[in-house]
Amino acid sequence: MSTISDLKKLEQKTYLSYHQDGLLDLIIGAIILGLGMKEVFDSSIWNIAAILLIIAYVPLKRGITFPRLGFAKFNVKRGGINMLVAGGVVLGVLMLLVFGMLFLLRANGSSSSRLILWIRENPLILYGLLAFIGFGLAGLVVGLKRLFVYALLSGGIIIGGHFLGLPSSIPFLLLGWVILIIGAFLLIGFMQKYPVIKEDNHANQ
Amino acid sequence: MPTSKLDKENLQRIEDIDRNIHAPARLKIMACLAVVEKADFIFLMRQTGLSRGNLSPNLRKLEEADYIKIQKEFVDRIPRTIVQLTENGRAALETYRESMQSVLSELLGK
Repeated sequence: MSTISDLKKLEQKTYLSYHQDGLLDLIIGAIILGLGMKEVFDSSIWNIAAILLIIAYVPLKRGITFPRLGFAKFNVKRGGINMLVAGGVVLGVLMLLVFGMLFLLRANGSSSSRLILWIRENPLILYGLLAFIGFGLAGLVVGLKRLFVYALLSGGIIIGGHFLGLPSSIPFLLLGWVILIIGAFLLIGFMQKYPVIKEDNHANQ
Repeated sequence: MPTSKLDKENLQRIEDIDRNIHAPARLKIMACLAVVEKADFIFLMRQTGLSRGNLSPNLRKLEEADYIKIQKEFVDRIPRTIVQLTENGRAALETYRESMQSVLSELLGK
């Protein structure tokens, strides 16, 4: 017998099943890898590639996930939380953090604040914290547990890179590859578990 | 100690349980549709674990009871059967849930 809480669990489970395909991981991994490549090659082509990947998310979902898992439109208000509002808050916090960081790092003139000077000298720590907060918040909103793993992983790798004295590109390249490989494994597993189902057989019923 | 109340009234309430929903296959369909705005045939197959041959007649039965609405849509030139719970269906599911809860709690003395 279904109770309201069971329905909520079912809703959560159903929603999460849509993220078993690893596409989100592939795109996040590729974007982080692109950030590392940009540092290495100093070319904006990697930024363009990242934007193209984000744009490709919906067509990829339509081409890979929907024929296998089917299509469902979820209620915007899920589990009592308005997902659009929650997503907006996460995005807002991240934008604020990123622009705040850029302002601190690029502000002209000599600042007497020791904190600002310290941030300018140790940007990887700030990047690591931002990635940790970003993945953590996204994990809270989306409900995907592996985003919390990415939060720990990104914080660990990027901040660890600072303490190991690595060039700033290396932690991003490493993190990007790790998430990309996880995404690839998830995608392969997903495609094997859910073969494509054609709908045409019952379309005239 | 819990006491069960197998009186005439309770037994009558079992009779009143909505059979359109009570069948496991249809209950699964209704539960799945209750948590989404709308879904297609493949989604329902995947989520309920029902075969194509089993899903179709159960959908038809629910449609006849006006619990679901079935529409044919073309997405990227591929025909899709989109299924949606109607207001009637949502209300019936809620009534079913309450009835089952009530009957079971009375019968099992909880």
